[in-house]
Amino acid sequence: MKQTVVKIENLVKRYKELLAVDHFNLTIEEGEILGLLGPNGSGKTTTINCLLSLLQYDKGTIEIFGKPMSPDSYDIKQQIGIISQNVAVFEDLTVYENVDYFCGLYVKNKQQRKEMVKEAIEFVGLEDYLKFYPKKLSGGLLRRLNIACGIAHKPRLIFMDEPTVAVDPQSRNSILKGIQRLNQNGATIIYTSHYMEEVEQICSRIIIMDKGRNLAEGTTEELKLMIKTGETIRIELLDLAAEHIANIKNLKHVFLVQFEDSLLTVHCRRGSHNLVTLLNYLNEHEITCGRVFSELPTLNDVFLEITGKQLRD
Amino acid sequence: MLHSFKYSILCALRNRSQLFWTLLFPIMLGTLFHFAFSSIIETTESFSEIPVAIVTLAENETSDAFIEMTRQLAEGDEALIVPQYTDEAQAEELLSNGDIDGIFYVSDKIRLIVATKGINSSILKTISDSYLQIFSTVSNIAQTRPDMINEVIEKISGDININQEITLGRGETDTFLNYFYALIAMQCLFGSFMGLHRVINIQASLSPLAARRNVTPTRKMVMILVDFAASVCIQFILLLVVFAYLVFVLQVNFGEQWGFVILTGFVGCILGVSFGTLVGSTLKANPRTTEGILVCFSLLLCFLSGLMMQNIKNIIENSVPIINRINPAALLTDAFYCLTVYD
Amino acid sequence: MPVFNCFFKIINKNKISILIYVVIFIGLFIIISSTSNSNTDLSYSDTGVPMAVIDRDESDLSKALTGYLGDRQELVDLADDTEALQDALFFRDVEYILIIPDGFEDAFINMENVKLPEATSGIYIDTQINRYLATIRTYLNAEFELTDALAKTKNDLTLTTTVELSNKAQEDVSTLPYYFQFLPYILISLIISALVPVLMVFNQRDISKRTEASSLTLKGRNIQIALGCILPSLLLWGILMIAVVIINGSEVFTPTSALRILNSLVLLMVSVGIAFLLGQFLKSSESLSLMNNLISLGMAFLCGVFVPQELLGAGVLSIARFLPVYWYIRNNNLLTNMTHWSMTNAKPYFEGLLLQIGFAVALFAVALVVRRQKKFHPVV
Repeated sequence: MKQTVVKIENLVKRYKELLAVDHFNLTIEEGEILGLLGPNGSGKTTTINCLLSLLQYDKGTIEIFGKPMSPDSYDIKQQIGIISQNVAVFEDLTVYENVDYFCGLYVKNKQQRKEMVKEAIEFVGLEDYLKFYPKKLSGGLLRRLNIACGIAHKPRLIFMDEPTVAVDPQSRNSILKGIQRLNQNGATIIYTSHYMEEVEQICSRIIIMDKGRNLAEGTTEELKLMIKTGETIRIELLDLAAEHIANIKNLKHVFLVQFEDSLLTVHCRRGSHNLVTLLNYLNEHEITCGRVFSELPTLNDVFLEITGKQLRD
Repeated sequence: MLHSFKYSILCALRNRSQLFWTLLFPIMLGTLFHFAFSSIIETTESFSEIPVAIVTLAENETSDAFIEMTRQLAEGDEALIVPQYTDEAQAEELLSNGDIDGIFYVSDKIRLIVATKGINSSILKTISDSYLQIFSTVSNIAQTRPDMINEVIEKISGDININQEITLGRGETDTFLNYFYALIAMQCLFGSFMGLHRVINIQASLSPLAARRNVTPTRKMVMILVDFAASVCIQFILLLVVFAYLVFVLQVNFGEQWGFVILTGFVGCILGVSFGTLVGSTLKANPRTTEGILVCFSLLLCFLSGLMMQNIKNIIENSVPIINRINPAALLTDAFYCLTVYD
Repeated sequence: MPVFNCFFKIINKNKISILIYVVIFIGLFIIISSTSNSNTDLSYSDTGVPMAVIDRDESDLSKALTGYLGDRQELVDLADDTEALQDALFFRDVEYILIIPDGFEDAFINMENVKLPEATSGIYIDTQINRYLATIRTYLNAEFELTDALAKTKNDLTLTTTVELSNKAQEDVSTLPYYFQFLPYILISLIISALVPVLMVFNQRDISKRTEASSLTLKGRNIQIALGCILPSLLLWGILMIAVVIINGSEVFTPTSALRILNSLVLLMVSVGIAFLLGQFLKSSESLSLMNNLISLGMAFLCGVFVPQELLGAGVLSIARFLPVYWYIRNNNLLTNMTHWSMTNAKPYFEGLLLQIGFAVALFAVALVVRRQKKFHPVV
């Protein structure tokens, strides 16, 4: 039976007039990579800060590893690692010294620590930069250092807050692969991001948050099932008569048809033959087609429908 | 704990610019003091003759003798004055132009007009006072014991100097030492910057680095104490360097009670770092404002302990003595003073 | 004028810390100036300073000496105990302690004194004692009886010169000269604290590169920044002048005072020049505070702000001549000593002004060169 790693019940946090977190509930099982999605100001960071006991909250209970979390819960903190959005390293220490310092706050045994630091640096691929100061590192390398400092002590629970912002594609790829490896090695990960593609790629479960509330929860597939749009088909056409537009609208599963600037856009509900049916219709009526595009819904579509907002607000 | 301490010290040492300035400033200011003050002592010992006008309003015995005296005072290597013998109108013009420092109006009394109160005018007054008094003495003697007159006049010119200055304690102090004490106090207080920056790196709401450090199993109290200890250590070492410079290069006298002097310095460092820590933790403002406040306050406290004006402690003692009791800079300078002078 | 507006916005944002500086400095200003003329010359004053006489001889001579001193200074009773004496000096209950040893009357042996180091009274009291003893000795040499000598000495030493201050000096018993004497420390420190943080922001690597990539010319930018410096400084200077007027009242409205104000305005230009130059190469706010203190305190000490110019040695003054504040102080002193205005008097004053202006121009010029250098050889 998988252990519940994090359990938040009824969390409420108010900043004077503003209700930042509104009776938020969350349960995370061991071994998950949980994606926390939401626009700016949705309460993601506030929730994480409350979870880490960095912020006082008004109501609710928070348990980590089955025990209540408080600023003095040093045994719990022993098993947590955080990688914050703003790089949190010492400007005056080198890459090696930074990782060593933070690992040393968790691990007392010198020999063991040395091993762990070496592994952490290799993990993020900074072996060539041991004596560099943070000031001299590029954005991507700096983020990698940030990660190394957060995971050197091999924590069971890792918080990652937008770890790939302003990172070059190469670093980003390696970071994402690294996260998956960490997960395979047994870590539970909470992953906050704006980049849907990443979240879709690595998260086993996703929570969509807005205005401090848990709006939707589930795997990528489950979320996509929650919305109406199953498929969006776009076809380039020279011209289309109004009656054809009306007819297409009556095709099975179709719920929205638009034709503008030589582009026909058809929104369909879920169905396995939407494209074939449409193409057959066009063929029968000898309407010449240009290029054909078929898209499955993205998380952005999910978000748009659920919240009425764009994710990248 | 040792691990954190080691890194704390390393961070402080790597911050080269702060170290540089914290060291450079007191050394330069101390050197400046040294030059400014040593030259004062030279100036007061070697001075230039005072230009003065002598106007005879009425001729009599007193005036003749006085004029003769002025002529003698103008002669030789150790001349005191440069007299001009002229009339009233001319003398007044010379005075208003600043060509002379004073006018003696000589009759059976002596009247002195000066343009400003200062050292020169005091010297002029002393000259004429001495003249009047000696004249009176000699006249008295001449009336009663004219036979001794010659002997007496010979011995008058000798200086009588049997009033020796001593100190009650074991050391001596000179007029300007307090400036140096205040300088050390200032350096201790400037340690508050280090205290402030430590707070920024530990208070989770102030920096992401601090947030990360707060989610570690290391006790916060441990982190605070370690950072504090590291700051005090570094400050203390810098202070020792400054001490060494003051004592060995500039020859400033801190007395003989070395152990206590260094201990006082150590306490001063603790004081400074605590001050910065206090202000940084309690004041909810951005770092730059806080730094500005720290500087202002430190300067104010140092000023009140005599960094810019010697007499300020005197004045405060006479008007609001409580300030001298709670002003940390004043307490430090007083401590140094006691250690230098008293047992 | 975007750069100019931005300048003001940043200053506005920092106004709390600037305000704190202003308040503290004005406070310092007031304290310094109003207490500095308690350094009045003791040879004129009727009241003496507190002192103590420890009389271990208890003879006619020692008592007479004590009486003589008591007429001129304020005698305080102290126990003949080293600790009590140390305490009295430390807590400034007395400024001078005279110790008359046993057997003094018989043999005129050495007596001892302890002085408070920073009090100027010590020298005067020494002189008074010397005079007394010298006179006694003279009478004794002339084979007078002791009692006779004591009486006559007492009389002799009551003779003093009447001293009067000339008309000009009587007018000027104000604290105004002192305010202007201490102004340089306050003004320079204040202007640096207000302007340099803003300049540092503009000269930050990223912001300056971004601004350079715009269509505003270097010259245009420089002009706007210069204006941005000048206006707040004028405001701050204005505040200080108002403080002076409030404290000194109508004394301010004389021609001499007007000249002092002009002198300070020129000093303001120099301060802005210094701030402008500093803003070009300072990077962190710690180095700012320390440079600020170094420059303002350093110049103040060297040029005669805290220690009057007349007391400084020739060596120091020759270095000080290369500093603008020296000429400011010199002008201030000239105005104090001048009794009337004439072409011969005015010349050194205007020379002083011109020199200060020259310094200001030089500072701005160097700063502009540094800016230009940075443009072509950016500091990475």
